Amino acid sequence: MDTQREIDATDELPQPPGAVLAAACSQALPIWAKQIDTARLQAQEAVVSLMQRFQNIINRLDTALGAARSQAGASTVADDAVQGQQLLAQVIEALRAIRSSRDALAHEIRGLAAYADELRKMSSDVEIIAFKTNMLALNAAIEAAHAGDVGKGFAVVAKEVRELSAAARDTGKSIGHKVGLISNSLAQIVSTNERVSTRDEAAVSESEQHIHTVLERFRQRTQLLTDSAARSNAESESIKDDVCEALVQLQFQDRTGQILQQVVASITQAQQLDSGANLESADQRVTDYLNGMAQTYTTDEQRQNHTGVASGELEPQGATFF
Amino acid sequence: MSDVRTAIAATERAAATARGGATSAMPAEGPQQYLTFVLGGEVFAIGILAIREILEYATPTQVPMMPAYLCGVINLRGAVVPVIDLSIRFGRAGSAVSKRTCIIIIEVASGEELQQMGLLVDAVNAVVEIAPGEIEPPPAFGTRIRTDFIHGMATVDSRFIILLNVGSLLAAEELGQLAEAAAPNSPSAAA
Repeated sequence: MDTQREIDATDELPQPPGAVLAAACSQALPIWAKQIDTARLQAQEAVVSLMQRFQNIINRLDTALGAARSQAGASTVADDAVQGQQLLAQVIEALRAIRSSRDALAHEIRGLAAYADELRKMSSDVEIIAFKTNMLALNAAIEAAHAGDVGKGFAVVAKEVRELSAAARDTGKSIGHKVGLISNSLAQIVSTNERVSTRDEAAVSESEQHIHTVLERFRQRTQLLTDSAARSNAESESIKDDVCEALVQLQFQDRTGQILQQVVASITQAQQLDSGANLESADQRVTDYLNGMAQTYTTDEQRQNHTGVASGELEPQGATFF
Repeated sequence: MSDVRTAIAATERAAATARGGATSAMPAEGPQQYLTFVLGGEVFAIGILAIREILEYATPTQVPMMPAYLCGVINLRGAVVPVIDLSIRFGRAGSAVSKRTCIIIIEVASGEELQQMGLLVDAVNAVVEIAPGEIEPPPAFGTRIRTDFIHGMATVDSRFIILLNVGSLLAAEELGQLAEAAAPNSPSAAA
């Protein structure tokens, strides 16, 4: 309203040079001020919301990193691999123990085979004894025949002895036969055992190899996982750092906001230049106004702009962020 | 087994009938006891009263200048006894000695004296009892030994056995040779 009145007032005055510009300016100034302020507010709002989002991103990255760290997943998997290796080594050890006990068994069986040989010799001894007893009985029968009637009882004894010797010979033979069977079985057991043992040994070493291969692969995979997890962690960290940096950079908004605020304030003050008490000359008032404006600057760029240094040559002020 | 039983049972009867002759002469009546033995896979028998005893094989001492069928001499309780390889005497190859090889000591009449001699056989079997009626005369041919050695043939356990005539195993002059071989140590049979 005031502005309208001022414009109306100027219309009636004679028109000095620049009066149109001054009139346009006096009309446009409040609009500019409002436009600048709106732009400033919108920028501020957008930047604040942007910062909010960046902050959210950082928080999420933090959460993710924290989760990755607390889980320590890859290292646990590696521990599992080591433990698995130990367990499988125990299994292999158990298999070896079984094999060695079987070897001991085979040794015992071989000892038995030696006994079987001894038994065979004993049975042949029995046969020899039976043969000699038979000879003795035959000689006794001959003596009895020579003795005639007197030898009758002796002949009966001789007959009994012969029967015993025949029984002993048969028994000796059957012992020998059975011992032969047993010793054949033992030999077969030993040879079977040796075959099985050889096969077992191959199987054990093969499984051992397989287990080692599997474990090695598992270990390599685990290593890859660990590496990629570490890389991903590092990437996340660096992204987070970048975002933090960006967040810091976004604080330019404070500076631009202050600059724009100051411009708006200056424009508002400029509108009151004519309406104030006219104690001083116009030049004096402009100078005062400019000086006052200079005092409200908060950045070096503003001051340098004010003193007329081209803004393009300006060194950006060192960041004094808070 | 059964032959042994019959042999023993026969002892009682035989003792009464076959006494007194340690020669091959067989009384006609009553069953006689015989010792069966194996020679070259065939079974032979000798009258038990002609037999002195049976010995396990021991290597005889070789005597030079003696016929091939004479293996050598053995020391039988101080007496020198010649040992005859019956296989060679029968015109076959010599016996291979096994762990069942035996020497049968027999007594044969040599003139006025009884001459002891050993017969090398592959194995002795048993004492069997054979009745004189069961003895067949020796075949005219078909056996590989001189038939005057053979007293007869008999069947025991469905198997032919050859009964040897001990007195005819060696001719008189051969027996004389044996007596000479035995002479240095044992002029008379230690019966």
